[in-house]
Amino acid sequence: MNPTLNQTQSLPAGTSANDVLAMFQQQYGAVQYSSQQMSRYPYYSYTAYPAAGASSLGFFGQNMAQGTPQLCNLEQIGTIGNYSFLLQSIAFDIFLYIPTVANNQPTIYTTDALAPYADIVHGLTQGGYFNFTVGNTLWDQIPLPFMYSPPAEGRSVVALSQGAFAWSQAGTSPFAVTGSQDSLCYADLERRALRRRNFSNPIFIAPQQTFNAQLNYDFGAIPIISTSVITGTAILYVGCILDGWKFTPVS
Amino acid sequence: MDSSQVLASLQQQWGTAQFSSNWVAQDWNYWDMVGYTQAGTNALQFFTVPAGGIDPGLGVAKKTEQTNLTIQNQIGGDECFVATHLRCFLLNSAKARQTVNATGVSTDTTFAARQLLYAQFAEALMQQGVLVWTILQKQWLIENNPWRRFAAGFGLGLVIPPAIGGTAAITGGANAYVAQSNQDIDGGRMGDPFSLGQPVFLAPNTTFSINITFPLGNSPAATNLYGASANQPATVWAGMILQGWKVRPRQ
Repeated sequence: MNPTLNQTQSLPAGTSANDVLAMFQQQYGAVQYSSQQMSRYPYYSYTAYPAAGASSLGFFGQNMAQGTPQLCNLEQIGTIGNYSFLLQSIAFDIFLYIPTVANNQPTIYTTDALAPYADIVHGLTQGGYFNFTVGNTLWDQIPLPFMYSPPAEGRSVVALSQGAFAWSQAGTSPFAVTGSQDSLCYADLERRALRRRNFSNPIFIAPQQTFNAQLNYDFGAIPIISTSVITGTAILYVGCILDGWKFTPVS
Repeated sequence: MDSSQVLASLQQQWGTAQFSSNWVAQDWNYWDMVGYTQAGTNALQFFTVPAGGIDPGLGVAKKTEQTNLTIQNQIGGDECFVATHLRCFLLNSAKARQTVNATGVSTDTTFAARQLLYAQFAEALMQQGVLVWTILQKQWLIENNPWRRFAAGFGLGLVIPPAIGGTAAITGGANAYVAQSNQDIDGGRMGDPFSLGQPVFLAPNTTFSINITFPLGNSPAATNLYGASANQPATVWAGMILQGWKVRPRQ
């Protein structure tokens, strides 16, 4: 195989950073690519999930300056810039921004409207597909992205305990339930290692190549269910993570 | 066998195409979902209705969310496909995509009841069926209990469903969560969830089908789950993913 490294392509399984640098050097001898360094660099982009859902959501449409580093770490919009990037895996993530904890207790369940559990178990994670396009070429397509390619960033340790009902007794009458304990619940994306979509053929993105990352719900938008939380003061962010090796000049 | 070996063997077999230098192998999934009918069925036929076609079980037009196959029973004439993994899954659609009916999803309590019914249904279905993969005229693979043997290998992480609290006047409701196995599918060794071992090569325009039949009798009826009305595009999908490498001309 004699790849041309000025365009996006798959590289053979097992391709190492040294292989890529050597191919660079061979093809572009005027540049000392052997002097470049490689570092793992997950690029991420998050966007607020709209209350009504959407037929499509785009990622990497804002850069770090526009979106703040909490939501995006790409320096330019829709391109890696002057760096090269070897894309090894794609993952999808969610997080809930809760500005006032006292008013938002997302693990306490009375109705679906009060618990983001509902959105994870029977909401936005249960549909959709993802398109990743570089230039005009569709390089990857993922069904049910939040389940098929979860973040795999470490698993939470969770333990819940439930309280009892409240009871009353009047005279000799039987015990009666006078109120119920709010029920606790929990749900999360899969976060074990290796659960995300790892490419056996990494995708090489050349400098300045534009790419597009889009989550689609073409069968119909899926609205937020836990409206009391997420359309109140909290915001549910959904994100796309492009994880791989970034090549930069030795510094 | 990795993708470069696949390209080399293509070159060896069909020397008129410069597979080694002019073709590229990229990681790819072909997926298809088949709507589950209320009464159950004697066969689920995958990769038979492409995107845009009407699903025979639910009577709705399939979108890319349901399948990314564009031609019935084949991947088309412009590319080859090398299948490395086969995954089966069940999808209980998002709440917003379920219809309100006799069993009902209009309230949280009735939806919780429906989740219980779905759990019972899914547990029954996932212990049945015979998968038959046919390529051209040859039955390539026949295996029983496909939702277990060909584990999905993806899904949510930890899920702890809430009970719905009772009051003096209202009885509380139970809840449940069931999904296919999300255990590791990357290794592909004996004892792991299924990989195809020797990759299966689908040449351009090769016809294939994957069916799940139920020789002991129809698959479980989901009458309670779906309710009584005939007009219920509700919405359990049986899914199949062929994972591997798409081999196409370099662009």
